[in-house]
Amino acid sequence: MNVTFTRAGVVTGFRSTLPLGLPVGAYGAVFGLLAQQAGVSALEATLLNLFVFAGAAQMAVLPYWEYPLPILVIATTTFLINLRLVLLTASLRPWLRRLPGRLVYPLLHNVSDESWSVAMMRYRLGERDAGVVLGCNLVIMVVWFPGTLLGFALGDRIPNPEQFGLDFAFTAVFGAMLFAGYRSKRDLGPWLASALAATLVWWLAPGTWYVVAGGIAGVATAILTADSSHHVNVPEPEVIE
Amino acid sequence: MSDAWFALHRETIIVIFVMAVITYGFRAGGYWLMGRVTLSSRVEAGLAYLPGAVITALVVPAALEAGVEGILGLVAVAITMRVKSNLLLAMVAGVATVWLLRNLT
Repeated sequence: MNVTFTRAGVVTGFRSTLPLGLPVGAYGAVFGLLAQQAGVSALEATLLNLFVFAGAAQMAVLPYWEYPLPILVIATTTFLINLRLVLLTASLRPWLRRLPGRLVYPLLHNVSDESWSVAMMRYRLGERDAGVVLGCNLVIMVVWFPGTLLGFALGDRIPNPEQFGLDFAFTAVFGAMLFAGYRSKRDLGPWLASALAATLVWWLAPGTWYVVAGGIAGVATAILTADSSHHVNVPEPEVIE
Repeated sequence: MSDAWFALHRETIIVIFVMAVITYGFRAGGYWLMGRVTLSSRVEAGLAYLPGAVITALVVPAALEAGVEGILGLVAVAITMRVKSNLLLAMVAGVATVWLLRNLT
């Protein structure tokens, strides 16, 4: 399979992730507001954005932001919430493995649930240009960074995203990616297994263990139910706007 | 004003460093680990289902948490994707459904 990294790919990835700009920006503003209320300076919030770049974990640690900072609690929370990232980048390996590490490892730093889901579904539909991964990541970066500063500056004057149903935007996008990626009945077993495992673990365990459980249950089901005579169909490329 | 914007505690630097190491460790670690293991073709074929399984795991609990509105929002997303494979339209349909149901009930 031919893997390239082109500017055209970056543009494609950027364009396909643009719909996520508004909800990601809105949540960036919420993070900025909460950070300000927790006594985190704009500079500190920006350093979190630059070096951690994981919105859910950044929000989750804010309630513990009292000096002296409880480093163990913050580390544990970060660990539990960001655990899922292992599976995201693991699944990028087949796509990026032919590229040099000096290109891939910096790219991995900005992988998020949203950009990854858009990129992966394009991969599933036949996309092989790794520039797409960067393009998808860039959208999230260019709205998240200014979004947090806007929220920080405006404080309580920013509207609550839930008021507009924007909290559902991410779920809607993940759902849309799933429907776009549906190929055949063979998908249903792994997806159902994942849904059951994820729901169960979501009730029982903290953090994002549920994402890990769903991913493992899905892959295990796919392996166990694999028909050895079955040939993997190479999907026809399809246009998603 | 300037303090709220530009204060930088030494402790904060340490905490951000720890968070950054854990987070990048996961991001780089997942990718790195996949390069270290040799996989049978059967397992490799199974791993093709990883993205779909992870996305399912992200969607289902989130929709359940959003309640009946969330599940109907997903139905709206599914219908939109079936009619026209457009991410923006599907997102708008889902968000609008949830917003309407929340404001009607």
